[in-house]
Amino acid sequence: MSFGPMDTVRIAVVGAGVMGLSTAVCISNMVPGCSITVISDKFTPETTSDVAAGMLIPPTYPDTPIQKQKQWFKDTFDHLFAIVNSAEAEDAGVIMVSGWQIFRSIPTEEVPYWADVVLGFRKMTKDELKKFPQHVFGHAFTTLKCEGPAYLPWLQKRVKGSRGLILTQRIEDLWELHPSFDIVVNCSGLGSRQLAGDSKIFPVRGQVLKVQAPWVKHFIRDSSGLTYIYPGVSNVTLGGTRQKGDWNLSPDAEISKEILSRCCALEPSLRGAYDLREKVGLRPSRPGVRLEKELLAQGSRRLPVVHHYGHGSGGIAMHWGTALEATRLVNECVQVLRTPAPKSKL
Amino acid sequence: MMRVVVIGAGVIGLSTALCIHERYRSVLQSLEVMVYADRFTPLTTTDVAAGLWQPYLSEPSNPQEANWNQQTFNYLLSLIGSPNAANMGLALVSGYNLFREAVPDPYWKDIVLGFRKLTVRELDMFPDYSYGWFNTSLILEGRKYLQWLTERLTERGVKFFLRKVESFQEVAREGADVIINCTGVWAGALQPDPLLQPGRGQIIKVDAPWLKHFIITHDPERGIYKSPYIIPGLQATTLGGIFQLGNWSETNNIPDHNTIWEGCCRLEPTLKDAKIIGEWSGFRPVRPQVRLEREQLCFGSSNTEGMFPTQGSNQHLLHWQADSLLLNHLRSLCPGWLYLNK
Repeated sequence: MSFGPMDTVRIAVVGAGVMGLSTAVCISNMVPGCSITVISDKFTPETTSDVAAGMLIPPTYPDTPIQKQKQWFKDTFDHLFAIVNSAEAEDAGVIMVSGWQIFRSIPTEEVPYWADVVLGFRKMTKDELKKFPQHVFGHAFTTLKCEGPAYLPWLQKRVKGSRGLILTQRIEDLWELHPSFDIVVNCSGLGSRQLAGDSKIFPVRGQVLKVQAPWVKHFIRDSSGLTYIYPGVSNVTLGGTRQKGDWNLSPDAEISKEILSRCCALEPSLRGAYDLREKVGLRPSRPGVRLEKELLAQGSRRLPVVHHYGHGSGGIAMHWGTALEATRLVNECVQVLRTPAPKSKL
Repeated sequence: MMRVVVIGAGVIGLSTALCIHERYRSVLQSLEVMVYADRFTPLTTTDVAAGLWQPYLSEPSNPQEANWNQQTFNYLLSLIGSPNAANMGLALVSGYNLFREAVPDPYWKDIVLGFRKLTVRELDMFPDYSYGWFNTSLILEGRKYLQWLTERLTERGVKFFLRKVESFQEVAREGADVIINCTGVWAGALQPDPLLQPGRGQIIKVDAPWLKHFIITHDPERGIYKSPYIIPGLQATTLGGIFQLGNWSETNNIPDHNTIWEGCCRLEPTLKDAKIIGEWSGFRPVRPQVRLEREQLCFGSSNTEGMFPTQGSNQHLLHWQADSLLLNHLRSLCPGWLYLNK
């Protein structure tokens, strides 16, 4: 296959959650001469990204160097911070929220790697900790919340605005995209078990309650990550669970009662919460984010793929940083396609 | 039988009535507490206030007021962990105070939670300002709180009367032993008080649930509350920035609306998408010092005690502790009360 410098490179992005859509936007912003088509069987509000609360409090990936994670988080924070300070904040579903992360025992690492990325990070005072009698230590800071149900449509508008296409289709095999597309960006999350034959990715089931409690203005997160209260634009997310290997998307009523009880222990006024809705999401979990190129080969057919998936509980928190890196990889693929093959010397 | 009449049904009147009933009902076999007012919620000044606990920046001329502020904050903070907090109109809220130049820390910095100065990145969000504070404080929403107080008082058998009191004498003649004048900005109608003036405010309430922080700007040249402020409440968000001393107009006016709207949208551009729920005007009862004192009134052959708590713009802050002082005064009225340990 030979590409002239002016030929359009046709890129397919598989998956329309936060990774697929943000990568599509990044590519259209940064890689000239491409056409982009986002292909997915599910779109907002039915993606995993729609269930996530979207708090910018990052996890730690065991298989990724800390400096790299910090860069991903910082890139994402900076990108969303610019949005929250603009008139677009409400359309994009990005808000600022302050609150506390609380610990039942003093942590070995008192200051996390992301402390200087969020705003106003400091340790909680004794008076602040009085509100949480079961906890002895805490962090107070201001961070961002990015809500799927608004952010994903906002990204979709941007994709279409750059003349990208959006297709509803279930892909069973990446080779279906050949030869219509020149490069595939795989953002299929848990779908990669099948699409990429990746056995390292597995679900971590999360159940949450989205409730009405508009008087709650602060987030509260237990450091274990299991119990949290995240106030959003039009509801408060109460969570949660971390059930490894559980694929069940139906809410469990007993679990809902138990989540409510744990959250009320931290914030008693939640007993007055109303209009409770149960939601389940399967975090696409992996020891590390898969962010790499792969050249698929079948006979004489070649299909360059950029994998961009496996963020587990850190999807929203890391999405823009990893999308930028995925875009750099796509650019490398584009350069390879545009480089004329050397003529054989005979 | 002791009859206590509270005149005024704003936050001062109702909380005073509750305080008295709570502390003395069990001791005095027959204590009758009655509330007389010509305005009840939602028509009181308290209903218009945003309800944020934040005193003036400079120390009060009467140091006792600083104690009252602190005791009110601590009392409300102790209720934050109750499941009923939201029903009372009470919630924690954090936010920003913004200045155009460095200022000394306020005397209440250790009363609020987590007081600190703003970082450079935070100040970048507010291009018109170069210095500021961040802290966590409390919202006590007037309407919700008055409704809650009314319920508690009703449970206790306290009776409410819609009437315009023309004089203390008329109330004394009906048999009141103690009169507590909590008429706020209108106190001058019952007893002339040249130190008391209306500090007219106008506010716009909007639906902007994405805003979780208060933002209060300060302009020392223009004076307190004359600079835009945005205060999220339990449901709606209050926008303000009007303070007109001596203005008795209770109707909303367009120039003030524009001042508020333009100032707040400049501060927080997302407000352009906010739906306006309503607009109100109210009179902060402004006085150089809170009036809290006891006066013996003589009408013909009867003696009546009068008590006058009337204060400035921050009446929410002072009310609870002011009531304890009242009770100390009440105690001295009746020798039988001296054995009380409060």
